[in-house]
Amino acid sequence: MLNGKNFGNYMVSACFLIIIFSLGTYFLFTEKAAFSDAENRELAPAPRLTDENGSINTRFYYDLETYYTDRFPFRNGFLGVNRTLQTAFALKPPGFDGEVTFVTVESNDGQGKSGAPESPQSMEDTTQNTSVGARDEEVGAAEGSAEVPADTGEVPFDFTSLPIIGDRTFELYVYHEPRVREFADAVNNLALACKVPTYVLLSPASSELYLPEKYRAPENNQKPAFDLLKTLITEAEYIDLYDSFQNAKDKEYLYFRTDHHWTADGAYLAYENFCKATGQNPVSRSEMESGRRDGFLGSLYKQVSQSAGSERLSGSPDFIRYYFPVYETEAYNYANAGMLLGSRREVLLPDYEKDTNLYNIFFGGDMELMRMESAVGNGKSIMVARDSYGHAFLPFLANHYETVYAVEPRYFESFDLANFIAENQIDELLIMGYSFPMTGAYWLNWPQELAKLY
Amino acid sequence: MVFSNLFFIYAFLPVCLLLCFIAPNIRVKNYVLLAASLLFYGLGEPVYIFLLLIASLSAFLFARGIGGCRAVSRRRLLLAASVTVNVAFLFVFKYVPLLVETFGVLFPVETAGFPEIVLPIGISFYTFQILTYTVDIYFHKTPVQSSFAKFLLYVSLFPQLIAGPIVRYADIETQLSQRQMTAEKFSSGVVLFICGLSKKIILADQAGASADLLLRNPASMGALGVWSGVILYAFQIYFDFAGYSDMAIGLGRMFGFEFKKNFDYPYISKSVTEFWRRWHISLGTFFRDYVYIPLGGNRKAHARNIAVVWLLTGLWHGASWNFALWGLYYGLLLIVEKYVFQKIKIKLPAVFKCVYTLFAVLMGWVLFYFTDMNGIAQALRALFSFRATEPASLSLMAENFMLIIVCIIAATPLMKSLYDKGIKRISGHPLGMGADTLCKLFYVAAGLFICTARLVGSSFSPFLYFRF
Repeated sequence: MLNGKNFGNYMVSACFLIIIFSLGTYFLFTEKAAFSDAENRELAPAPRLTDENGSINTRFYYDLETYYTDRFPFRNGFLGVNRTLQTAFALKPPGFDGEVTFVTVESNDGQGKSGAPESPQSMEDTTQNTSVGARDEEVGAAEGSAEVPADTGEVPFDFTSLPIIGDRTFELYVYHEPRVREFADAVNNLALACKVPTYVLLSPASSELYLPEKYRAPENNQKPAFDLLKTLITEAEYIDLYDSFQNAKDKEYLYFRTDHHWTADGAYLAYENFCKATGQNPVSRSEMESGRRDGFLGSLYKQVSQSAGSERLSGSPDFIRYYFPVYETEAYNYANAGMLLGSRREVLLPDYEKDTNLYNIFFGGDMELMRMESAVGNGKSIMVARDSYGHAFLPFLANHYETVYAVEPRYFESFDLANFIAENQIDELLIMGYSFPMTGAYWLNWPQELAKLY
Repeated sequence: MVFSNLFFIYAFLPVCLLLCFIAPNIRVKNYVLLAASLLFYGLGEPVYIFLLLIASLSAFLFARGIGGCRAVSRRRLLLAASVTVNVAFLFVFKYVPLLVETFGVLFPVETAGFPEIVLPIGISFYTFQILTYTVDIYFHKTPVQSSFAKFLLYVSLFPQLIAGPIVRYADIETQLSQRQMTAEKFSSGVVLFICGLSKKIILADQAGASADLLLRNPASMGALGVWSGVILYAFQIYFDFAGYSDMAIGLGRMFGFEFKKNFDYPYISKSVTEFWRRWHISLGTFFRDYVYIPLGGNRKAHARNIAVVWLLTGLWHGASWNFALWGLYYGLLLIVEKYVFQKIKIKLPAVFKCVYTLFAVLMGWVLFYFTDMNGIAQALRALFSFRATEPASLSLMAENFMLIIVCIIAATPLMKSLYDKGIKRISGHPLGMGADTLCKLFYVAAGLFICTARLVGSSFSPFLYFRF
């Protein structure tokens, strides 16, 4: 016969057992998602007892743990609860600025965008890994060593802090002089090898314009890098964007607040500067057909989405504006320099469905080697060596060049750019991207990437 | 494997519990638990599990030798041999790398070819457990175990295997053959397990993440930032370790075992001596009974005995000289308390004593946290400077304000005594019992829910004491 006390004990025991047994059983019998939209990454695959070579996988258990955590039932619901808890816990005492949060992220490869490049065809930014934990880190390191280009140079700083100031978040740039010099050398070498007019166009990262001084260390300033670069680039024309970006920062929506990229308006400002440097007349924005998509939460948001302060970002998402070239334009992507078997790409996809990365509205995401044909009919051509800042920028070039080629060096082991330019009789070369090529990050070694091209 | 991960809570534990429930008798239950424990260890340490088996087998055989022999000299020889074998394992796997490194610094010779040694998980804990058995057999404090399976179960029992508490064989000798899984034990085990899990996941992990940020570069950090870092680290290490002990004791109860308390609100102590009576009790009593008293205790060479015990205590926590320094620091404080403070008969208000103890303990954690002397010096300089704290750390401190408040409350018996008083007051009422049950139900369900969300959100993080 149960007395009151024993009844209570049975109730407590039953409560615990019911929860662990039901969730545990549910895990076994549910279909498991392979991709996490919330984190924008592939979830861990089922562990294997043996590795590719047939030898025993000594990390089997740790793989199993990662798999189990990654595929846990109601994962997205639990992530939401966790986010709420994180926010509730981070209540600040009176007198402290409630609008400032510094989020720590485990140093993974490049805050999820540039380390080991995703397959461009997948149109998914799969490099992001927002999971933390020492074991994961070990796994990540083991995998990364095979994929991340070896950069034996020291990494003099960490990228573990992402400040959220109000409703904007930033990547922290860190000045690293040797990398600036290497970058300038690479540009000079490339320009000499290609023997065509060469231009360099680098955008500051948004922290330079919008991160208040008091949250910066001296090495976070990007100006010294641009100034040094200007003096070191001798073989190409350096297009200085710095002042025009500084002047426009309060009038224009130049950068996304939740993503590390510039907006099409930021890219347009760069395009105006480019036109000025090359003696062309920019097409005004009103002449181009445009549209916008709302509700964009970008790469940086995904990095901090489990942390307090992220609610300020999700509470005011970015929007994406896009401008169609004035001429009929078609784009193709190729996986090789021979340009065999290209696949058609839309220049702009206003109805892009994937809400995980709306920046893919431009061309549907990364491309290895792009050829864009415009009906401008002037016979001019240009080659652009670029990073993903190019996505928003390239459509503007279709207003001036009949053929635009664009190569992303990180997708190639080597690429003979001089030969390619000669063979395709390309008139000009533009090297473009943002200031992060000039940090010492192991995940984004631009000098090394550019060196593949000559 | 550790307890604070989803695979353990939702896969390993339910299967173990199910098998133990349906096992018809204690013999089968023991085999189930033994298999589960070896799997628990072997999954994480597929190679070093053999070391655990060899250490257990050697101690088992030596103990049989000691038990079956009357000649004192022969018994002593067997004891020495057994202890040597066990301590040698610990020494080789834990301390040889430190000696090689130190030797390499003092006498620059080629050590590149020296094989890399990885510390087996839990070796510090199970070595000490084995030692308690061998020594207690020698002193006739406990009977010799005739079944290797039972002895191996004692050594490898998964709730206490990898991070304590250090359970003495004599304490659970009878439980290996006689114990009951009752609803009362089970439910109290559940509550304790959830309590430990929450300490680890909600408090320790959060405090640890912030502490690391605040302490990673003390040279450039303001005084306030480093103080907050040290305080958060003190909470991290306490809730991490005490949380793990709670989970271990709770899991033990679910399977019918009763382990002794390992932490008793150490941060409310009024002296360092008291702190060590409340902190990691199973380790303190181990050193007291198996090192300090055999050395002569306070009867002869007291200062030497204290120095030896605390040097060993320090080094037990990690194979690095800062841990030795940390141990000696406590040895010194204890000598000062015994020979100076106790002689000065000044009555100080309790609050002063608490503040003094906390200050001493926090300074101890500085020695514990920084593995190099440079870091310790920088941190101490920062702690006692008036340097302003930079904005990133100010923001971090502000964010941890709530956490620190919650940690302070959770580190004292305040909530528990309020709860107990409340329940006592209404216990006469017909609804009193129901209220207790409802509170516990809510605690278990909410605790598990929150911890699961945190685990999903942050993946898992290993215990600080995982590789001790």
